[in-house]
Amino acid sequence: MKLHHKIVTGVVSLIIGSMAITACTDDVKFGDSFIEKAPGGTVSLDTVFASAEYTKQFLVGCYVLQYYGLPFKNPTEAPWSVSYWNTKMDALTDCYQQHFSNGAAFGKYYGGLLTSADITNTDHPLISYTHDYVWETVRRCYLLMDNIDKVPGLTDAEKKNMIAQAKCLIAMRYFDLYSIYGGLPIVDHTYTGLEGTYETSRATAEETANFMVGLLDEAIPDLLWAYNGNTIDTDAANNTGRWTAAAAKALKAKILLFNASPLYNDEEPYYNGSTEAEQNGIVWHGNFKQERWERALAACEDFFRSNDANGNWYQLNQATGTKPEDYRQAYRMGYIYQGSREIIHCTRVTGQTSQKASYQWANFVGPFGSSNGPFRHSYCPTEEYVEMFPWSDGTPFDWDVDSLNGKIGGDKGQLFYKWTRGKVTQKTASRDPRLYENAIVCSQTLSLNWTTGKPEGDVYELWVGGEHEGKDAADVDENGNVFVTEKDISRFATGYGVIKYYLGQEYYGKYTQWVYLSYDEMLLMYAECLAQCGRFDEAIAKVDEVRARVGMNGLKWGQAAYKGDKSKQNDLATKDGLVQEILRERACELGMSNNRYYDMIRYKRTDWMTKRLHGIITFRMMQNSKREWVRSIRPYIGDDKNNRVEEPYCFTYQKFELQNRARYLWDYSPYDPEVKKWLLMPMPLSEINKHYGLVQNPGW
Amino acid sequence: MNKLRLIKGKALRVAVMLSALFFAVQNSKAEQTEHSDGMHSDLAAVQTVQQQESISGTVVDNTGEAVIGASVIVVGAQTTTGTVTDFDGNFTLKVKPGTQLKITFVGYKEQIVKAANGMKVTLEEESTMLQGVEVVAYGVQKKVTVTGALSSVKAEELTRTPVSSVNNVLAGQLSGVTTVQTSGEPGADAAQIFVRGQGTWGDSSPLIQVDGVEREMWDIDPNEIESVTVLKDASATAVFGVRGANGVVLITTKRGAEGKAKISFNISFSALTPTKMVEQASSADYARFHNAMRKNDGKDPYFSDEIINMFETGADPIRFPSMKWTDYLMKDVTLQQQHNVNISGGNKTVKYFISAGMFTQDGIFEEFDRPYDYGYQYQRFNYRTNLDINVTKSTLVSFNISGKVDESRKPHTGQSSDQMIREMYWASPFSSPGFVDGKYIVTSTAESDNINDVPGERALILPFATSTPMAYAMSQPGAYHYNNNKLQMDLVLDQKLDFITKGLSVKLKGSYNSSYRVTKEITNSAATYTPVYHKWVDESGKVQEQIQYRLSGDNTEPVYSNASSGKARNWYAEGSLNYNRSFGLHTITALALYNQSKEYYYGGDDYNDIPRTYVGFVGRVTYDWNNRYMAEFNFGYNGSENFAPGKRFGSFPAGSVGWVVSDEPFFKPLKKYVSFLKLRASWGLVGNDKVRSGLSRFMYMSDPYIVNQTNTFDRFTYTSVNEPAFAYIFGIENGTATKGAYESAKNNPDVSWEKAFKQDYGLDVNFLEDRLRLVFDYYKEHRTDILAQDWTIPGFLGFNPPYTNFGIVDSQGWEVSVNWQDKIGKDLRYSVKLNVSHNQNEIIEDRQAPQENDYMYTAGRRIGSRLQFKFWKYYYEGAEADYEKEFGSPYPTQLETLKPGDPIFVDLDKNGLIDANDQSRDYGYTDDPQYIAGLNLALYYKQFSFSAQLTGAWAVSRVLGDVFRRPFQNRSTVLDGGLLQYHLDNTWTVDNPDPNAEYPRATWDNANQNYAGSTLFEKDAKYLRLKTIQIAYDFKFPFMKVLGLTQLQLALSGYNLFTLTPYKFGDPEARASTTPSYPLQRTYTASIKLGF
Repeated sequence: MKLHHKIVTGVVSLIIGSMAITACTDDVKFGDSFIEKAPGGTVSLDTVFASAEYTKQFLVGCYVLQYYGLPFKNPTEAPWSVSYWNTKMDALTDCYQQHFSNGAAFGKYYGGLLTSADITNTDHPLISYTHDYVWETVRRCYLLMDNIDKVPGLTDAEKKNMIAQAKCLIAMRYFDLYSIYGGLPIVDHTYTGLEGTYETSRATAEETANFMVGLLDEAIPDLLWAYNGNTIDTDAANNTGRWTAAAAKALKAKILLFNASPLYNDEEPYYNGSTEAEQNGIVWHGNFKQERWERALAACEDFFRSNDANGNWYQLNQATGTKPEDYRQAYRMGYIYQGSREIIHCTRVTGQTSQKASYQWANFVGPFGSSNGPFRHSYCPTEEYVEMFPWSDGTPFDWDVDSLNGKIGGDKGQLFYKWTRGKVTQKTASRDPRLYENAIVCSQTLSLNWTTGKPEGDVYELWVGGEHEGKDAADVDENGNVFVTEKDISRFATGYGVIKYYLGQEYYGKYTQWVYLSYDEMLLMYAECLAQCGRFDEAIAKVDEVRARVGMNGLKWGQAAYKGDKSKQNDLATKDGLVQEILRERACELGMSNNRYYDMIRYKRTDWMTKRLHGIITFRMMQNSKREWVRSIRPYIGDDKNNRVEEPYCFTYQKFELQNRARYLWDYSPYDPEVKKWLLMPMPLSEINKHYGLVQNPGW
Repeated sequence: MNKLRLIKGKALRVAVMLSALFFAVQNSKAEQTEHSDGMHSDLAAVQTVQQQESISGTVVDNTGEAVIGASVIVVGAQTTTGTVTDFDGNFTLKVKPGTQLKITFVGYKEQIVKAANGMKVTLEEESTMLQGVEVVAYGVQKKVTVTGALSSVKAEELTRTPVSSVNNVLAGQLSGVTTVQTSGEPGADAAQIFVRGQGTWGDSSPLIQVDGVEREMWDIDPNEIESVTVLKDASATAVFGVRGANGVVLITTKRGAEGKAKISFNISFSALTPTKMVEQASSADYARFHNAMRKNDGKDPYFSDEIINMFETGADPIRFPSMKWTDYLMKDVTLQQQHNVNISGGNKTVKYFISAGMFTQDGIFEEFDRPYDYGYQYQRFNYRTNLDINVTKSTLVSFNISGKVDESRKPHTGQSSDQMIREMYWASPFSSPGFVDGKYIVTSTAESDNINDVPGERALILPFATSTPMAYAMSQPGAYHYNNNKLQMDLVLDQKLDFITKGLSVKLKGSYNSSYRVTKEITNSAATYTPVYHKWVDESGKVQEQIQYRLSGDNTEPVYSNASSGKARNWYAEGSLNYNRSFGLHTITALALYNQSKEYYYGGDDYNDIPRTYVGFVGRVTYDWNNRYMAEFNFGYNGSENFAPGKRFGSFPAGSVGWVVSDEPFFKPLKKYVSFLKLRASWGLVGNDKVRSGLSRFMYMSDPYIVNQTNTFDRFTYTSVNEPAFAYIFGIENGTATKGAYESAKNNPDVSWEKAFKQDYGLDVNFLEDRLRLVFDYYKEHRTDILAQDWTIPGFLGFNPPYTNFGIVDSQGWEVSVNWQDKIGKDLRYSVKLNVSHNQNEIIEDRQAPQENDYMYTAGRRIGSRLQFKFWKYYYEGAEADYEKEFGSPYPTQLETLKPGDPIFVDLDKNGLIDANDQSRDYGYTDDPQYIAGLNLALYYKQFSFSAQLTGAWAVSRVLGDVFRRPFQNRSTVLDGGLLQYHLDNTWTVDNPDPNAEYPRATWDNANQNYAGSTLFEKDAKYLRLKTIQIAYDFKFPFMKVLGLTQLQLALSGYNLFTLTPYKFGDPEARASTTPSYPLQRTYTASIKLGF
């Protein structure tokens, strides 16, 4: 007994000891009951769709997955289209060149290295079939549609409206892939992942277009035309960015335009006609039908009719004056200001642009905020692009003709600005005001005041040795010989810099957006459809409407004023000529919107792919003691400016072929299959190998 | 109200516990009665003998210590008659005096003596079975009867060289253990440990226990360690159930022994130098190489001859410096100290071991002149008291209290040490001259900073100088100071229940660990100076030169702030019943154990607030007959909250058998040569529930949705579960984001643990009177149910496949250790121990997305296999034809148009085109070695002793990355970053077109080809290194006796003294990639050991 007593004392004291440590916070439990219960308060599908608030949030969560066209981050995860390493489709056109050798444009596209193999993230095309949240958006929108019925606290009208928004989101994400891949598997429900087998092959291009249009048609009646009401749920101040009936109709027009374009809608297939994708109608309709254009035209007309009926809510942002900067300001505010009524649908990321580099698009394109970005992901406009912009009155620009007339270089030169020298030197922009909003050119001021629209600050010194050029494009050696530097990491490697969506210091602290659909684009789509349907004069009128906003005369006036060989101009009296002229106008009006890329593939312009591109070297000319004009590689900012030397106005120019890096396709004929295959992106091999019916695009 | 409830709750609990215990005691009493009624038959014989005349005696060993449990058997009796000595070595036997008694005990030589009352038998130790017992899971076992696969090492072997953590010296000491030490960062240099390689691509780290409780290995002072045992096979680890599949490392701390107090001082001072740093190129070499690279691409050079000349002559070291950053920014030598004092001893009632230790190590980053310390530094203070108290003859209470207080320091960059090192390699040698007169100077490329107004002369301007090599000191100056305070306690009660039945005991154990951490942050800003150079002709016509400095930023006072604090606590409780008894030649032991543990603030995932809990039941039965035939059955039954209720508990059985062949009569003739031979085999199932980091702990729950998200999508957030960004900004210049919600994952209610079916076949054999001992093990493991995602489902489903248990990995390997111990003459003793371990694994199933070619699959290959192009040769004119001859397929279009010196890749799928599908996993090795070997030498001559440990690894490789692969790379450019001397020395050039050059022709244009991941950049990293070496001398001075000094030892030792390796890019264990590691250290130590 004594022994037992001791044991009991020992054991009890031990247990009390250990309980003193633990018991103050824990219940004493053993076995299964000791193991914690599952974490409480976790949210499941049922939680979300038992609440009106959470259901609304779930729809917001789908909006987040929309495509954003400006690469602004370094993602370790999808969506890869926002990765600045992956670059932007505009860099694949004849309008822009990227120089950073670690970017996808440089290696995969200019180097011709893109294949269907998708081992790492940079192997994927610029909008990835698998890693751009397209299918996530589709799934989540169907989840919403499947479950919204049981949600308490939402009116039927609210539910219908939310379903309609979800349908637009599906159509939009489908379009993002359809426009660069062709026909897609039609997903019309959610999956569990336990189906076992998946036999879902790619639908034809037409079926895919009809699927998207079907969703939009279903959605349109349940959507507001625009958020212009005066309640918190209908006003623009809180709702701009949501899908509207106008946006749905505009997207419908854009889809049908694509569907009618020669890439798909032609007697001739774009590749060789023998591939499975072509034969099955996935990337080619197999024929040409004018009705497809008529259908696209009808969609455009429908949009404008409805807009009319809704008090012309959407309209071009008009200038308040007639000076070039007034037009620039009108054009700029038309796309950059969130309240612009020119924007039909936009997508958004982050909040305001800020110094914190949360919006790296701005930081990698130029110096922004207080940080001195390395500009390595800059998009340098090409000489070819700059030459697409007419003179400010609308006369077509022609380097050869205009240099003969002394309008380019020298002390009377007015390539970008015209100096009227007298008591007070007047400096006037000489070209299409949109040029200065799409490319930074020499002598342009660093700033255009956000509110007043007045040019302010120093000028961009894009001459060799200039403050900003910094020998990005060229340098001069000891003997005065020019050599092209065309630096890897630079803002001005082509002699020009990008300004659209970057703007410079005045964009700091502003709200970001990327324009997905806009009124000027609608006008030009309308014009294109009219032209394709033989209604030339109406088409020209629509284009002229766009030109008039920036104070330019119409197409016909411009061509009449052109001094050179008229045969070098697009013939506005022919369908083809007019359409090509519209494409040029689209490039000038719709920079950085992916549209130039779409135009290139829609019209099978493989010649744009094989065309060698150029940059420009600008020399500052200074008068020596003998009053001779000689080259100077001095900056103006600094001693010259401090000593009140006149702002440089005399320049000479030298075009150079881009060599860093020469694009791989430049060595090819536009008719070579190796070039033609690039009209559509490769489907990922890893998906094809899953054998659910994904067919590869021709040539890949 | 609350208080009352608490008291009530506690009181109730105590009452319940007490009654449970009382009931248990009563119950055992009842059992005892039953036993005396229904006696077992072989016990009956013993009982009968006891009826006769009784003699008693004592069995002791040669130190006079009682031998407990020695068997005393009557020789020649018809039935086996005998007894076992008790706790004090006493025995009583009813036999006639003069009867022959055979006395045996494991580890001692058998003796036959004549029985006499009051006899005292001294057993002689048998060298075969050195230490008698072996630490196993939840207890100890007689070494001879161990049938599982385990290896152990005594602390003396590990502490010859002072290291902060014993992790770093385990490989080469213990067979079957692989370690990879990638970093030498103070306080964070612990090597990664694998037991028998990696059996899974999930978390393959072993379970580590200190004194039977899961704890971190690097928390303890190596001087506190008694032994380290690694449990390798299923038989040894099944009792750990879901936690045992990756092997278990058991660390046992020292305890006191009966005797007078022994005091021991260990004092050591070490000098540390980096093992091997990658050398950087000088400015002149850099410029020439840069020009050559541009020339290779047909581009004009950037560096003029004048600038190269400036670099070469060093005429203007301010504006045209040539810096080797790794030399400038890192100290050549740093200091380390390790001191320990411990006292141990005890009497019959109380035994104690008390230890206090201190460890400091300085970092190698230069700190220059700042008003605060910011270089790496690590200090640790360890303390421990282990007490064993014999409360009664049969009650042992053990109490351990231990802890550490440490302080580590690091620079304030947001970067880890590897990134700081990378910055050094990224920097160009002329980007800065460093500190000059206390000013940090950066060179300038601006024309306005370089003015030469001397007619006819031009200003020399650097073409670029962009990198900041001193990011850690300049761009985000400041420091972090981390303070950690860890306290650990164990309380163990071991109660013999011999009164219930002989050999039965109960053990209760409770452990509590807590830690607290404070991070202090110091920030300030630092000024930089740009040299502004002006050269002009003054009025007198003399040429004048001047350098002035333009200041940017300024030096501000350091600001101290308490940045953050963290805490952790966890506890562990166990209760077990042990049974250990011999019946004649039969020995049976049994163990039944229950344990539970709880870890609070279990970090690293979304459920930090939910403690991690485990519940386990353990059962073990062992049987041996005369130490000759052994069988063992182990059983673990565990539960964890990570799995769905109803699916939380798993059973893990394992069994093993052993046969000491050398004990068989038929073996007698061979005994001369083979003194001992044991065969072992084990089979069993063990689990692994460790979820790879980054995965949720509760993947069984319904698909999680996340609501009320307020973050918008920006550079730092993702539209996914990490840093989620699901709010959206609608409206016009609206500052308020609309909250969003999303489906964050698809879950799997059936998630479970990994299951490892393990087999082990072993052989222990001693030759030549045990002088040569050999242990060999062959093992196989079939790991199933590894969590993985099924990537074969189509991408259009719109979600990532849920984690499901379908992965399979097979692994196998062998281990051999050979141990030779002998004496030459009287005074020279020596030993040579060699162990070699081999491990190979193969992924059998992982449902990787379908690949174009078979060689691209991870399945069928070792875990960690690399996907890379196969390099053939450097291009030369005519290579096309040779290629076609060699491969029988057309020469493929490469990634670029090749020039001589560019690598040619092999078109593995023979489609005429090199693309991503030509990357294969078939070539090369992985980061963890397939073979690891250790050679341990020891030599004792009189008072001299010498020991050395050589460690080797092979079938291992490293991939060069980043600036180690591509010249002039830095964070954002590939144009003006750093250049290594290796590039200069080992690059293919037109002048030196070496077909075996390490690097291809330097180029930007063809970088896609030349710097693509290929076998060219996978470098063999096998090595043989002298890991530790020690020479010691024990002084014997007359005065020592006076001082009571029993030991005075002076020792010189070294760690990582030399390495033989074909790998040229730094230390073969370190990384030369995007995360180059803090250099591993070479250590020279002098130490003194004093014993009282």
